[in-house]
Order: sequence, then structure tokens, then C-alpha cells
Amino acid sequence: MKPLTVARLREQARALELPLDDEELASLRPMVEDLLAVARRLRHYQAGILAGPDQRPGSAAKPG
Amino acid sequence: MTEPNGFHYLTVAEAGRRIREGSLTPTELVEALIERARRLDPTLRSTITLAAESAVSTAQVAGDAIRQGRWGGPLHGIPIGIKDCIATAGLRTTANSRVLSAWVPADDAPVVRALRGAGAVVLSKLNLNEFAWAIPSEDDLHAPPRNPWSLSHVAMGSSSGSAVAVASGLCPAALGTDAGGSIRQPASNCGVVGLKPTHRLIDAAASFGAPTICEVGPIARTVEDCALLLGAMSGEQARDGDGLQRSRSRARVGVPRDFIDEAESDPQVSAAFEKALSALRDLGMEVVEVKLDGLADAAAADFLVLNAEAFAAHERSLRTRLHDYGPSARLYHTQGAFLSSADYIVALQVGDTVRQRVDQALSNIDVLATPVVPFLTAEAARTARARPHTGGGAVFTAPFNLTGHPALSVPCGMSADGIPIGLQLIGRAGADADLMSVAHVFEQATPWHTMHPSLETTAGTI
Repeated sequence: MKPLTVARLREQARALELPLDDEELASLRPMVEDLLAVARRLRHYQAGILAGPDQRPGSAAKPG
Repeated sequence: MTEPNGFHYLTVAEAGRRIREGSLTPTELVEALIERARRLDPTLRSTITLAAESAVSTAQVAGDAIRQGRWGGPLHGIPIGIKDCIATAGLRTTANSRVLSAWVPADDAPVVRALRGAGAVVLSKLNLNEFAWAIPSEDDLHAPPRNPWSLSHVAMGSSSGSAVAVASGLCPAALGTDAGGSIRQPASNCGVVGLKPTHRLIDAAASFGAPTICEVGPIARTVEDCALLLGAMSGEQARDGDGLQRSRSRARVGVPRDFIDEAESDPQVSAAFEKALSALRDLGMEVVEVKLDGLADAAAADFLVLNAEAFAAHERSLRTRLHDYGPSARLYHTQGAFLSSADYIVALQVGDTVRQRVDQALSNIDVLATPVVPFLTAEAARTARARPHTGGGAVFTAPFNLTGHPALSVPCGMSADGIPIGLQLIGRAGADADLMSVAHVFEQATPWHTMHPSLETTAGTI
């Protein structure tokens, strides 16, 4: 998984036509990184549910 | 200053009875609350727009109808506050954002129309976190409401103004919205009752909420008052005394102990929760531990859905008016842009999975019980919310937005510093009345709902 850099975020923001400046992109980066990590964890969790109880990963999210 | 009358802490039910019997007029009640709001709200900051003129005029019409023998039900002539992200016809609706600072909707949101139809008087538009999804700041269009129990703290959000106004006697009841705990948390933090109804029981259109997870619900000083409002909001013909049809003193209460312990709540929150469980046992209820996996995952998934739907709703204005959003709201509403459709769908699937588990647990018990929020103050919760996608301060409340079950906060204790603490009860989908019946039994057996903040003293010290 490639790390999420401000440069990559800037590219994506441009594609989405969001006029975020560098300071905003820097603030946004850890938020988006966290959000994507949660999304990955949920995919893993849900894949375990679909695979059945014996193969379910023990990956319950902890409150932050 | 002393109060000119004792109207400000009347419940909806009691004010409604007095109005019906003619010992109180809607105009007297509305004028007393306007005077109180003008005196106290510069400190409390709960109100964005005080609709004094239209409220008095509507109250006079309501009073005329009573005198002519046309009583319209328990909300007839009752003043209410509305969270300022819920559209009100002819009355500015800002969502506490510069994006909407001058917006005057042409139409009421359906829920406001229903309450007006039941005779309620719209008194005020109440403060909130910007678009109900941002960290509040002193630089907001309207600075965040202060907790009336401790004016050095801001109230938890996002329906902070609604909870503060009700707790402070500025209105007997108010509407909030809740996509992750935004009714229940401020209600808990301000010592009042807040209900997130079953998903889609109430039409939540025109309230700027994430459609899959956000509900419009009542905040009031008693469970009975929440029931009265919910009845009118759902379009039922409210009848006097129909708020709670039967008590549930024999209820079976499930406690998801592993989930609760994992959150590592403030010790005072944990102590208040255990005392509340003891009180439920003393009332003859059976309290049992239940194993319920996936609730923390559901909290995380709820925030993923919230972010995706917040961006979808604001996409156009984020492109054209990004810098009219406050610094926090602009980032909170933008982050969902970077999620994929697969991420969103998986989050919804987690909701389906956990909903089935909660349904199964509730087939053997009547309600689930948890704390409302692991922290005592908004400031402490905010530290945890630096990474909001993992649940943080909303870990107990957000799972039930995603699953759609009705959930409420009822006061259950007080911290050493005098900050209220709430108990969350969660009921079966569609069984909001049963849920409120259990909460009503608990409320009436405990003293917390009778306590009010000492505003006459504290307001003068700030």
C-alpha cells in the first residue's frame, strides 16, 4: 500500500476540483489516511464474516 | 434577577395541561421564555435566532383557539426550539455556517410541519456544530454553546444548542439531529433526555443529515415529553396522556460488557453506569450480560458512511464555496471524497451484519444498556475525536445509527464537578414506545431529572 502523501492528495483534490490549499491538504492527509485505514480494516472484518466464523480475523476495531 | 414566574421549568406535559385548563396562556409562556432567553443566552449561546415576534403572534392565535373551545392536543401552544440545520419556513436557517448565513427557507421540513400541525409554537433556532459535522470553534458563525452546568466547558454536540436551551429552561423541548450521537451526547452532557428514533420512523428531509444514518429526534426534560413530541413528529394524532402507554418494570436489560469495558471510559462515567444498573435491578428488572460482537466496528463504519454521505451532499458547494465553510467543517466534509464506492458498500454491509446481531440479542432481552459517552466534557471527547473514524467519543452511540435501532439518553448521575452523566438504552427497531417506557420507569425512580443548573448564580460570574 503506497503511503498517502500531500502530493498525491493534491492530485486527487485537483481531479475532484476541490480548491484545497497546501495547509489544508497537510491537515487533511492524516484524516484521510485514518479513514482509509478504517475502510481497509472493515473490508478485512467483513471478509472474515463472509468466510465463516472459523476464518474470521480477530480484528475488531478499538475506539480511538 | 429573580424569575417573574415559574414557567421556565414546566415540562411539556404540565404546560400542556395548564394551557388546556386555562391557568396558563401560550402567550404568557412564550413571553416568559423570550425574556429568559434574552437575559441568559448571551452567556449560554444556545440560540442562533430567537423568533420572538412570530412566536408571540402564533401563541396568541393558539390562545384564541383555546378560548373558543378548540384545543388541539398536548402540544397546543407549546414553544419549542429547532436545531438550526432543520428548515423552517420564513425563518433563517443557517446550520451555523457562512454558506447559509442568510438562507430563509420557503418551506418547513416535514418534521417542523408536523409539530406546527400539532399546535407547537416555533420559538427559536438553536446552535450546533457547523452542518452538524465539525469541531466547534470560537470563530464559528455562532460561537459554541456553553454547558449550563459548568460554563467553563462548551456543551457536547452537535445538537448542543438544543440540549443547552432545554436544560436551561429556555424552551421545554427541542429538536436535534443524530448521525453518530449528536442528540444523545449533548442530552447526556446537559442532564436532559434525548431520543434518536428508529431509522426512518420520522421523516428527516430538509435537515442536512446523512440520509442512511441520521435521524431527527426530540430533546426534552422528561421521557414523557420526548414521547409526546415523537408522537406528533410521526404524524400521529397526539392525545392527552398518551406519551407512555404502559410501564415496563419487568424488563430484561442486556449489558454488552466486553464492548463497554474496551472503551475505557472515565471512571466517573463507569461508576454512574454501574449505579444505574443497580437502580434498574432495584426496580425489579433483570440485568444480564450479553455478548455482542462488532459494535466497535459498527461505530467505525458509521463514521465512514457519514463522511461519504457528507461529501456527497456538499460536493457542489465545496467546489464553489470551500472557504465559506469553517476550517474544521471544510476538512470534515471533504475527507469522504477520497473513499471509494467499495469502501462505502463494505461499511453498509458491516451495518447489516451488526444489525442482525443486535436484532438477535434483542429477541431475548427488552433493551440494551451502555454509557452514552466515555468522557465527561466536550473538551475531553474532542481529544479522542482527533481520530474520529474509530468511534472515539461516539463509540457507544454511533453503532446504533448504522443499525437503525432506537436509542436514548436519560440522566443517571453527576460527576464530582457537577457535570451530568447519561445512561443509553437501546430498543428493538420500531419499538420506540417500549424503549421509552423502560426509560420512564428508571427516570421516575431516580432524582436526576428534577435537577437544574444554577444559572442565576453562575451566569453572573462569567
